[in-house]
Amino acid sequence: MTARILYLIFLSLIFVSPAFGATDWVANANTKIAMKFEETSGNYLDSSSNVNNGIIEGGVTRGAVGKYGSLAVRFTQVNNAAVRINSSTSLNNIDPITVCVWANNNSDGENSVNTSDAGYIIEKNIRSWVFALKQTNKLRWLVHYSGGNTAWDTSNAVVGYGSFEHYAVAHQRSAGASPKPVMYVNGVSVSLTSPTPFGTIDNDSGTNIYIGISTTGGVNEADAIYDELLVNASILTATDINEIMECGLDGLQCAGATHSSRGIGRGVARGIVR
Amino acid sequence: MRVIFIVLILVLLLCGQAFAQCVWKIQAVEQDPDRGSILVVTQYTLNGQAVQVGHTRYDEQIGNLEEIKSLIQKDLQDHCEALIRRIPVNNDFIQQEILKTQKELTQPLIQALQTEIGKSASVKETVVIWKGKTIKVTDDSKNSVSDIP
Repeated sequence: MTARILYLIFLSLIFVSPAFGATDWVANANTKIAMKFEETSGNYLDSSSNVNNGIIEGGVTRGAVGKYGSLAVRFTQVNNAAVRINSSTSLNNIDPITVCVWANNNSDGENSVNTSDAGYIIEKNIRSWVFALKQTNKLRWLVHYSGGNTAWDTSNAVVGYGSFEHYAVAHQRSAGASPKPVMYVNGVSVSLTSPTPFGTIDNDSGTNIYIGISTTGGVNEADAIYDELLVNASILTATDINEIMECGLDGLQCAGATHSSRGIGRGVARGIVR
Repeated sequence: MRVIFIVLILVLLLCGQAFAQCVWKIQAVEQDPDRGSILVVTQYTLNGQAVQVGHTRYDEQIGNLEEIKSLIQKDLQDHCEALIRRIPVNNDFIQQEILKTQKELTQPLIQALQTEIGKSASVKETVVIWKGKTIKVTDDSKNSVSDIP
């Protein structure tokens, strides 16, 4: 009788515990773009389920040495080099948003005197949202509101040249200043300026995304190598961003590692990004 | 038998209460050998089972010691909340409730807007105001410009 009771208790423990969910970050329905820039011909392929592939324009250099995988994309401020991602429903009005990328900068890129933006990492529409560099050695997250542009810049010079650095920004754009965006450099959150936005975010439906240049064309050209670009429609936590930085979009850099939850058998299988 | 059944129910309830949570526990605070930043290694336990060892990073520019401690705790708290949201049942529930709420908000408006079906109007011209000028353009392109008085 006692054994039967214990057995019942054991069974009840199994069934009462709620199902375990996804723990490590994985590409999911919120992942809008996951681009690894490994392709040597044709479009750069989006590893999310949205097929937001990148179309090469101008003087893009393929095959630069990447952070993960083997290759990456290089922009050298020549011939309006850009990777264009055509508009799609999945890219409309992304909010909240997290953008992550590995960047190896040669310089801040092309400065725009009027806006003080430097090289653009990625932009949606005409400054609907922009992740960019700002002279000198700073990062900028810019969102256009009905009351005008609002730029959150790093308070300090955080950008280096000549080696890969991981940049990320997470923001509920519609919330504006509170909570303000959180920006990470190499997994560490960095201090930002505190501008005050006015109005509502743009409706950017039906517009393209450009990587490496301003969508207005020919300005703010990047001077950098980019790898492992992620656009996610959620606020990723500091733990998520550090994991993406360490493990890559597909998780392969940490596959089999002992430091993470891959010990519960997620490992390579976590990588639904290709 | 009834007593056993009651005991079993109590055990179930107690277990449910005890395990229905995410717990973070800092395992180590180290220096990132590659970047020099502070590296916090944290064990996450979800519903009684270890599910993840997460890393977060910090540096001296974040603030003083207490401010760094505060940010570490916030980051770990945020991630625990994310883990709870990511439980498939919870994620589905959130999405269902969001959809349900959105439908409740728009359904009466849709009903009220049924009266608009069939309404029609024509537009023949539009005006652009630019630096003291009124620029009028029409559907048949008989356009004109006038000074704003």
